[in-house]
Amino acid sequence: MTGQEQRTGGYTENIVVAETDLTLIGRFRDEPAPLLPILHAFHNRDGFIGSEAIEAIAKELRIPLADLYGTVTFYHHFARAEGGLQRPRVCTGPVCRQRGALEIVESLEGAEEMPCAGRCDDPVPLLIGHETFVVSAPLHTLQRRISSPLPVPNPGGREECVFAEIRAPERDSLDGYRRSGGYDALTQAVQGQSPTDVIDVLKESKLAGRGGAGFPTGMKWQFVREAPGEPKSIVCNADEGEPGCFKDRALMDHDPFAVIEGMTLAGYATGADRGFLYLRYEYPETNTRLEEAISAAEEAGLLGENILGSGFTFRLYLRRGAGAYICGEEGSLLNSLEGKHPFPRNRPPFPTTHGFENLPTAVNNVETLCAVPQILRRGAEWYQKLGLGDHAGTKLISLSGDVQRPGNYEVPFGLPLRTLLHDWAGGPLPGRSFQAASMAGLSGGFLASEALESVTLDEPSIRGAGSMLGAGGVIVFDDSRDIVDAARQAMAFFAHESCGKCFPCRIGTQRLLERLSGGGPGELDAWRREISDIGDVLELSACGLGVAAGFVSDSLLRNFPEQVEAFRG
Amino acid sequence: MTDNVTLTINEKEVSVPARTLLVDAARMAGIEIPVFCSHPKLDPVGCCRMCLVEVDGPRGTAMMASCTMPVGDGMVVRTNTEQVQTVQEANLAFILLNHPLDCPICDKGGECPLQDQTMRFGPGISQLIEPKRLAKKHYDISDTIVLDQERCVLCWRCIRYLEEWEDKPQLGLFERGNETIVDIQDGRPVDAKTGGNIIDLCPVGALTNRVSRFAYRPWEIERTPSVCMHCSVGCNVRLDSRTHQLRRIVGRENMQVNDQWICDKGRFAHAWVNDENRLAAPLLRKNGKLTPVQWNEALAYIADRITGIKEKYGADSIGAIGSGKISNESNYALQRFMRTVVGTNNIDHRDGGEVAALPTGLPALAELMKPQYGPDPQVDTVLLFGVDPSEELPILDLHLKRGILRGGVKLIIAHARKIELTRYDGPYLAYLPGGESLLLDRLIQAVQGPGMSEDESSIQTAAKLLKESENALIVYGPMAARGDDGPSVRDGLEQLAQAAGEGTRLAYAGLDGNAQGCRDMGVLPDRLPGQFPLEDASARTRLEGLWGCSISSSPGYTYKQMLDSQEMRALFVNGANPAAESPDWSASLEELELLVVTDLLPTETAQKANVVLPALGWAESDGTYTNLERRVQRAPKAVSDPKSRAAPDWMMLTHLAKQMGASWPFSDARSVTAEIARAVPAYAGLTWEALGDQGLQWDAGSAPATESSGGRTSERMPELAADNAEFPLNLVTGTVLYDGGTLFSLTDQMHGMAHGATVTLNPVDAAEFGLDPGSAVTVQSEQGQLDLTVGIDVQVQTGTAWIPESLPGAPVGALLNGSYIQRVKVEKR
Ligand SMILES: Cc1cc2nc3c(=O)[nH]c(=O)nc-3n(C[C@H](O)[C@H](O)[C@H](O)COP(=O)(O)O)c2cc1C
Ligand code: SF4
Ligand code: SF4
Ligand code: SF4
Ligand code: FES
Repeated sequence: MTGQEQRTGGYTENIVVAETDLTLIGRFRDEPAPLLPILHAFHNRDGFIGSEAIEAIAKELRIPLADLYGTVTFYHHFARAEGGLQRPRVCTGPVCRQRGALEIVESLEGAEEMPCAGRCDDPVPLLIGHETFVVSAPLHTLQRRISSPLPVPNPGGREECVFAEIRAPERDSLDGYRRSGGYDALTQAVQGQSPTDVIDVLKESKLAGRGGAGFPTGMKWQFVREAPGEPKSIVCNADEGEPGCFKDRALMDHDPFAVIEGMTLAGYATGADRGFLYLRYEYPETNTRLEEAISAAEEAGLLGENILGSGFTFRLYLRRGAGAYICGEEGSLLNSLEGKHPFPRNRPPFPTTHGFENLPTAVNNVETLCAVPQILRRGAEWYQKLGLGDHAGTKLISLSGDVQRPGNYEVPFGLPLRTLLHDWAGGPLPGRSFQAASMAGLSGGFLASEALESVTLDEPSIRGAGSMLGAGGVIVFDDSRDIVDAARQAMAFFAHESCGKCFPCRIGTQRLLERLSGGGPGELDAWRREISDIGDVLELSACGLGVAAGFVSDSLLRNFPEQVEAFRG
Repeated sequence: MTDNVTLTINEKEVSVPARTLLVDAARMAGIEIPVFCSHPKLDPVGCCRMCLVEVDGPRGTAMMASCTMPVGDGMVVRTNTEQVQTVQEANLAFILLNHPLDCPICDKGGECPLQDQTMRFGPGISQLIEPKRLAKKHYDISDTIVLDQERCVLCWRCIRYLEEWEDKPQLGLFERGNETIVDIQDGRPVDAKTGGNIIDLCPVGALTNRVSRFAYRPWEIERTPSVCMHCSVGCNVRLDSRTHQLRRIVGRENMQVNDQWICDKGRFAHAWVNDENRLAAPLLRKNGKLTPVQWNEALAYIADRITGIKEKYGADSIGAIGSGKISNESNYALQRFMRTVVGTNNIDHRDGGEVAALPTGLPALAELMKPQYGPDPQVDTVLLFGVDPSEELPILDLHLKRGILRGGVKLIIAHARKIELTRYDGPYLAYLPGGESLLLDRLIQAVQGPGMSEDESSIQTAAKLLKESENALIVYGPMAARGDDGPSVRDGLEQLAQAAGEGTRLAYAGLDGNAQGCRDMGVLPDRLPGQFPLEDASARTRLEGLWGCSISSSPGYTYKQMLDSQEMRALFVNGANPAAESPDWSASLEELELLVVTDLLPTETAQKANVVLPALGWAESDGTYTNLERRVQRAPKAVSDPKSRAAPDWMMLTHLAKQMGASWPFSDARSVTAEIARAVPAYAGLTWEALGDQGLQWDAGSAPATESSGGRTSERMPELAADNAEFPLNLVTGTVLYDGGTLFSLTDQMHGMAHGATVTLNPVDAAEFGLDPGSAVTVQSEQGQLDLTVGIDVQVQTGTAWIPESLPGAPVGALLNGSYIQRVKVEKR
């Protein structure tokens, strides 16, 4: 080691950047949030991200080398070795495993495992470069997949909100969208409603965040509107990394303009003039579709400068993640956009006052944003009344696993889970019975069959059963499944996706994984006690991921004592 | 502005400034909350979750991280409940289960927060038996710092320090989840000049000191509060010693000086203290060979020779060279000896009479600092004129960077080299050595100029910044104000300060650890202790009263004059090495009838001496040192070598004075300190006891006024012919932190960090002369030549050749030979 190297510490003044690299960087460097698109550009060009690329980017964007290197290694999609981009990545999420994903990995040369890719209502997907394929075991034929399945008409005949128009002809083109009521809400807003009018309607509608945390949307927008600092931003959280969740993808594939209109309305209401749509990497076809939709909206004067001649300006930037579940957590997402190490942020302060680049920012889920134009068109009261009993509105549920008809369903809040499982989705597979279902994707842990019969689809009811509804992923496990192994897989996911920032989650998920894989004390009670002790510490985690990991192990011990005993026996 | 907020912690009402973090509020109330990641000098991250406490909120009681949570009015907090305790224990068990627990062989053992917290808050055992994380152990992240990734708990303190203070984020977090590790990138070492502070910050033994590795066990060491003497910042340090050996240096907090930071030279470069070549006995030249003798013999010899020379040639044929590297006590005794026993003002030091200094140093470092908690710096604009803090005054550099990044300080740089701090926005004004006055003329003109011109040149921008500032500070260093042109540069700077308006102050910063003290003690040919001019009769009378003899009022020779002059017959050299500076001086030292060298090590100058006296260094004897903001600080004796017969300078001189008939009242160092407090009015009351552990600043108001040289002379340095075909390049020289100086180079582990024997050129010049990095070349001036290798750096101005002072084995003095400005040519060997 020698100190002779002259450098101005951590930065890279002495690095010479090739002309071609400069051009690549130049395409995005003047846009906001340039790092991710630049990394993708290099990854696409070279098939991996090499040291030279990192050095060039670090120098040009003035990011410290060690920081950028750390950031790149954080994203699992970015290959660090040549040819990495083209390696097939096979989804080995909980549902795909039920369908033989591991065998596919083994039989495919050079294939890698990938966490749930959000296609649990389709055959096992695999990603090669920018294309999604599905494999049908045991045939092993690859079939290109462009779009996700269109949601079936509501089996319960319930009135819908976000899915209300999704099946309209050519809904995914601008013309088709406008023919079925699209952009009515925006037109009406910019021409006749003040921003606070818009916020008032949303508050009255009781629309709350559909990304999991359920924060009232109107209130969030009001905070952003009132927070000092410009420019403000809208971020659409389309990271959808939760295993067993695939509702946002369906919305974006079949109703891309609804997301765009929702974001634009959010901009109008909050005073934000720029928006970022943060899309998870594993949806390459959705990316193309959104790119096209954004251009179409811009060309039609519905996006960009002086929208609909009203003087209101809103620019939209599409940004892609790179394989990190934690980037769905809003603090991580914002750090990721800013080109920082994607760790969750400490709260307070909240994004509403200190979001993108420390300026006021509304982060909203795709589903939340898609509901907005409908609510503005049809009124707050209409939306409220869609719910059953005291509950307001609807929720998309991504239902997958061992049921007859998996898929996305829009349910009124308060609908009994058993109605969804049995009446809408056709019940268990022939000859089987339900053993368990995971809630909130995996984050809510597992409910046992008795609870499946009794809970209703709303947060209070499901929390009462010791779980949560969250983003609305429900994975069903029938009596043929090993539930302890399902919990182990879930823990493997959380350990794999733990960002490593906070001690409880970084260490705890790993220790739980070891225990659920057979480690720990031999004596059952001692084993249980350790798991529950570790679970207690996980509750202290800095973000929801660590807390969720604790739900998984706790629900296993609590709801499946016999299975646990059999596992340790 | 600082509204207070009242909250309740453990039933106790506490009032703290708004925005205080809960963990700090608790500390203020005397309640300790255990932490790992949180550190009072770093931004919070909230990752260890050790600090969770119960906070009552609208949605019930919740566990909150107290290190990231700002206090709120009416907040109710509990840190002592059973739940909090359970959480702490469980969390600690967690951390321990990932930790190798190799305490018996860990350098942190005995002073490890993890160990401590386990004892205080934890369950005492690692209950969960696990395969611990396996990662890289004992792995050098620089020549001085070792990282053990297994022991690392990932608290990011190291990363945050390098980012928030150094602005050199050279460590990062790689991978994620359980795989997360702290590392450098692609083997690039942590080369931040204050990087060693991360060792002090690390809450476990993951970062350790490579120089002091395994050299101590924390419970066996003696700890002595001291100060660093490698540069004039005077950082507070703690010396850890054991069995007569200095084992380790760590930072010590002083919020007026260094916060709690020190630089790597101060931390690591101390091997010289225990070096085997230290002078341990007086040496007398017998038959041409330096031979060990008893003190009596050596001193008698000197007394005899001095008396003889004085009789034969007069007192003014004898001179003495003191040093900014030695204590006030040693310097004071040396000048008292010369002025009273020998009877001459031939006393000076390098950067002494030849430099047009101002007497009062910087106003106060605290005015430039931006600590984690505390107001913004009072100074809003800093002009550095011919100083390079990154290489010369590293902790000042740290304060400036922090002030720029977090305190809104604006920086202007005038320097012959594009120094490291030019990486911050702010005008850079280049000049060539000797061109300082010209630059100042233009700058003054721009400041005085009518309104703001459209001209966006750096000079205009700098002038604008100076004019707009309310509290500007201009700092200049010895490089800019040396030699015949020095007074003119100083006057120019004074004019500039005046033109820039009322709030602008001018300060001179000496570089050596005791540069300021050396001047204060009167180690100057024309100034007495307290920096009073010799002509100042009342000052003279006061000292004559104190010393009981008369003092000559005719100025003595400067450092350079003593070495150049043919009239000198005898010279005392204490803590200086002029023989290494210039071939001519090296030769003229040999012409002396008597050369007495007092030093720590056998320097080139000592090799030529008739008598060599072994001195005690700063760690081995009590002494005081005055830093660049006039803070007088104590460095008590911390180690002693029982086999050595070395003595402190003041003691040798007291005995020598006695041999020559003068009786001084010094029984120990503190009695010298006490006399200084009487001899120097500004030091009144600054006795050893009064100084305490944090030192005291002397009052700038009590300094004698500087005589102005009465308007600037129109004389300028003769412009060196710019089109000098034979010697096409201007030589630029200056100090680098990691040089070839003895005090640095004796620390083996740091050899790789030393600046190589290179001449650095701008790529344009290198191309013109057909030189590549690493080319072996001969650099030639009219004075001499030097063999070096070529370095290439855009930071070097075109038309200049940058060769630092004191390179290992390549004294730039060979080219300068006592002058300050030379032109050179660089040719392939
Ligand atoms: C580990 C973790 C992952 C998350 N992933 C997502 C996600 O993929 N999509 C999403 O909309 N929200 C996700 N969230 C929730 C977001 O942090 C945030 O609450 C949400 O985007 C806010 O939008 P909403 O108010 O419209 O729900 C996640 C939260 C956590 C803790
Ligand atoms: S809980 Fe897990 S994912 Fe969340 S911040 Fe902590 S380590 Fe990261
Ligand atoms: S090396 Fe030390 S200071 Fe750095 S993250 Fe690890 S434990 Fe913390
Ligand atoms: S800045 Fe100066 S005084 Fe401080 S530790 Fe470094 S060399 Fe010593
Ligand atoms: S000290 Fe608060 S989380 Fe570490």
